[in-house]
Amino acid sequence: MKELIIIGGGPSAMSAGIYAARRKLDLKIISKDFGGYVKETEKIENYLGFNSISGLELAKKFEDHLRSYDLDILEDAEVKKVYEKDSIVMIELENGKSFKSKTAIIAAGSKRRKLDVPGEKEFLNKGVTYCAICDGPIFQDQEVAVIGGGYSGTQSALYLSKIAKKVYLLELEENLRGEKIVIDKLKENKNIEIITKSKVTEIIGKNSVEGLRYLDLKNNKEKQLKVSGISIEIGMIPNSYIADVKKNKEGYIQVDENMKTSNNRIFAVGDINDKGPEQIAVAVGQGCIAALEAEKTILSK
Amino acid sequence: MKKKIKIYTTPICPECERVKKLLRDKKIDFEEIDIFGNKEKAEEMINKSGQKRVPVTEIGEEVIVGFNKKSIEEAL
Repeated sequence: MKELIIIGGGPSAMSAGIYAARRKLDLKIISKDFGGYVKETEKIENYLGFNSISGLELAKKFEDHLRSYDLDILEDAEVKKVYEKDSIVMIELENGKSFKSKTAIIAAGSKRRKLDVPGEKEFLNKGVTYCAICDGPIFQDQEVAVIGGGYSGTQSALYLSKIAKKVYLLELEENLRGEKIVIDKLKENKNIEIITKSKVTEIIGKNSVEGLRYLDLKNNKEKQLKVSGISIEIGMIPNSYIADVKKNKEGYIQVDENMKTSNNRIFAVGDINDKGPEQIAVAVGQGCIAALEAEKTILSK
Repeated sequence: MKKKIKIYTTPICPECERVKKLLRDKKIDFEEIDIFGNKEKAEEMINKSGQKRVPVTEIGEEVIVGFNKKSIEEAL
């Protein structure tokens, strides 16, 4: 039996791993891969110590740092279930394997929220993408739309504006919600058109995406855009179904200030919990708290 | 006989990195085609896979979209 098992490979998991390794806890890390959504970010300019760094590069630095410790890491693994039985945390994998531990930190992150309109499923990978940064270069010199004007949508629109002929940025609310510094750049950009108060109702096309329909909420009129690529960035859904602990209405795992869930042997950090904005700095801090708190639980009889 | 391997990638693409790492770990040579700024190659990739998604890995006759460890290992 391990003392601590960390589930996940994003910044919160890696930070927890480093703190736990330095405390010499008997530790195992289980993850699909390392880096999380950091790797799908073009540039990171708000993390201390780096004026501007690509997400891939920063993720690589995090991973190298983690792997500089001699750790028991299980990669390419999907966790199916985490629960406690007789003061032991049980972790079951999709492949049938299972592990026991005194404590667990769940850092399994979130997945992209679906728009849930006709055409979205049909045209997935035929013009519809959930990774603008990855698939963006396919739409070179074409017209594209980004749906969602939050933190990641505004960043994607800026990235795509360097590749595509024109970028439409559609936001349901009255204002964009990303960082002001990014929004200002978007507004200066001539090939970006921001359409707020717009509700996308359908993605249309034949063999691949040819456009979308949306409801203009300013005058309740249906309108159409001709685009060949659509990036959907309307937020995330936490991967919390694996954990048998209390969650809020949106599915985020409820934790206290020590990152402890409703089960005192299970902690949750990063995008999966109900605390703090979904930022690298927050994830790193939460990983630290959880690892140190898990140690206290391990040491207490 | 050694199969010829081509991977179509973009500069920021976690799944592309995973495909490349998998092959490198197995010490298998491959040709990487970065489609950024290369419309002709992008078009070639879309024609091969029928999809607008990276990475596309071509192993001999087989075409694999995305990172799929099992499919790649079977095709090798």
